[in-house]
Amino acid sequence: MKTLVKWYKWILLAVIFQFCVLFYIDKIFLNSSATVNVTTSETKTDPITGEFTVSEGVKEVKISYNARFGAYVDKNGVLHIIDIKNNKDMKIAGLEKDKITFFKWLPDRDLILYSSDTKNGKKGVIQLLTYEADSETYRDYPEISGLPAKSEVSDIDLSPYTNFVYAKIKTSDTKSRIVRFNVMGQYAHVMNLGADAIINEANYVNKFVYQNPGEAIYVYDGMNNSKTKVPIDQKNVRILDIDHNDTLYIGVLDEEGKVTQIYEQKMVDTKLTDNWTKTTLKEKVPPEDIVISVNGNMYYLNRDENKIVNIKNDLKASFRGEFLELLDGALVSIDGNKVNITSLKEY
Amino acid sequence: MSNVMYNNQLELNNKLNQRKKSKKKSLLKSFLGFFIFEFLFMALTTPLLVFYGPFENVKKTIVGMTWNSFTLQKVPKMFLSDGAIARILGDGYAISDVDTEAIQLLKFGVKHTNKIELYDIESSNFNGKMLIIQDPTRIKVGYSSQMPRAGETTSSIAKRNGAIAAINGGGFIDTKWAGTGGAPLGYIISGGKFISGQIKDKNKKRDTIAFTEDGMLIVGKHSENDLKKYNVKEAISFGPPLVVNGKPTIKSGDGGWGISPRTAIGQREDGSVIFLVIDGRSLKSFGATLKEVQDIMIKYGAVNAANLDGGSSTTMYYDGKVINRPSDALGERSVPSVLMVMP
Repeated sequence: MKTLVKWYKWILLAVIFQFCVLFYIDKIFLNSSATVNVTTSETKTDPITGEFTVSEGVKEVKISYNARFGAYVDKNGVLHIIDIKNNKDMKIAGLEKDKITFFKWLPDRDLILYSSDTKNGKKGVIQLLTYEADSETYRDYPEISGLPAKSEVSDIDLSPYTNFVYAKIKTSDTKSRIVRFNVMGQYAHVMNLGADAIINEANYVNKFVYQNPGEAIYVYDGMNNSKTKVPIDQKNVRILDIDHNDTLYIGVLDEEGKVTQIYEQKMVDTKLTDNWTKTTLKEKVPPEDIVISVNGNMYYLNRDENKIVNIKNDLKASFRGEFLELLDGALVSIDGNKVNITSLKEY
Repeated sequence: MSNVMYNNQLELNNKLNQRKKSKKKSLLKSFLGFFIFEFLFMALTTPLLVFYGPFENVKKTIVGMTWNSFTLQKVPKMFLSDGAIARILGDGYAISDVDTEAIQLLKFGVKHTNKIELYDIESSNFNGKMLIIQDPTRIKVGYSSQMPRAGETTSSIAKRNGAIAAINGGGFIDTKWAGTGGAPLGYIISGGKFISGQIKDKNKKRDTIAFTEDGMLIVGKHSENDLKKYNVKEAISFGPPLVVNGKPTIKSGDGGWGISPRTAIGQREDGSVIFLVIDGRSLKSFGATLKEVQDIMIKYGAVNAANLDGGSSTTMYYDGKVINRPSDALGERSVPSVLMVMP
């Protein structure tokens, strides 16, 4: 009898609680009124070239697509954003327990994706975050927890049209997991790959190209979750890049692992065919020294002469210091602590 | 003797301590039992209260939100029949088959002016922005330069066309949320020309948000022949209409689409045009129902108004930048069409 009375009380409490919460949501939360205030706006112009200085020991500097903003992680794991025109350095993440380990600008907007080694100091938890430099807006994707303690994001590729983001989470010295986020902020575990796997995503079709080094190249179709081997008549190959127009570039490697030929083919809704456009290189080049521009121009890096050379027509463009990256119409290099953004002038 | 007394006292103390400990244990057990019971009871009964209880707003919102999210459609289906879901949604649906003959053409006259006013919208559940454009003849439809392959962000279309302001417009095919924004739903008419979506049946009525040559906003379902009759110069397809001839189309319920980021357009009697965006899917702004959007439109004088593509597409561009907070972590979504204000 005593137990029965206790249970009645508990049920009554739960029912009262539920009714109160639902009543609040029904009558107060879902009833709203709007008030209006006037605000003002301002306009900005885009710089094409520029320069800025980074702190000692910085290894990686990345520039936004229009060269308005630069980004780097300092030796303390803090992510800095530089407003290049105004030479303003802002610390935007990694100021507390978590150290930033990966960052990447989007190809068509001043928005940076980044990730840290821990989440609020907790290991084995990964979260992708974004910062929109224009509006100083922070956003995030859902956390992924339950990963091995040393897990961290080692690569990301995305499509600005489908807003699909593929992230490679390195879970050990030999393994990685590929996860995908969609426009609704949902994520899915797509596959497991080796730690050094190369990943690239197409812009216009929901397809993802991947390769474990030394193995075959595959295309994952996100619409039907199927994978197909890339039909290529060479054994020793490596993914080089996918340009803005969805052309896939594959390097044919010799026994030293250097690129001797480049195969290219546009990715569309249907499967890739064996109909490749082939370009033979005049001299063999390490794959990391091949640079594909967003509009599909192929260059190789001549580090001795501080030049990039257009593979098709041998035209060259010079840079100061060490090459960092190629933007649409601009070259980015670092000379000591000074980052230079210069117009891409081929001669 | 004293030893015996001491031992007895010790035994008594031990017993008391043990009793205290067991009392503590039982209290802890009782608390734990209480929480587990409450959790299980509420987990089982809350969905029943939501779907069968007296809380109509909660029921409509949950059914609307889950129904419009496709992957969660099985949730209301577990509790309600298809008929019941249709009734709940239908009860709040805005009328989409508006009698085209009943649309009253406004006579506001043409007064060309550059005046644009920007307002903040703030409520307990959402934030947003509202633009009032005094001269309706400055509104044009912009569209993606990459159609049909892909869409383009609202800000990019606006910048490319030299527009002062823009909001996202029509919807697009978005299978598995992998749409590139390049396959528009319905039609796009810009500068009097069909850009996409022209069909053979010129009398087939489709969702319309259009501007006539004189700047009158036409909303509701209309055919290509209707558009010709109205002398429409700019048009896209979306809906539902929220206000027609000064009257709200959602008479009861919340509109049936749940809470989401929203974009809407309206026109006042004096011809001025209202661009409205409501942010959503964040703790700062949950989003709005269609009814709430309709209420704002009516409050600010709209005599005709319609809903545009919302969700992650919701974007407002003004004076060189995006001024709302698009919901996706990557910011703006690529869309097929925008409504923009030319200088």
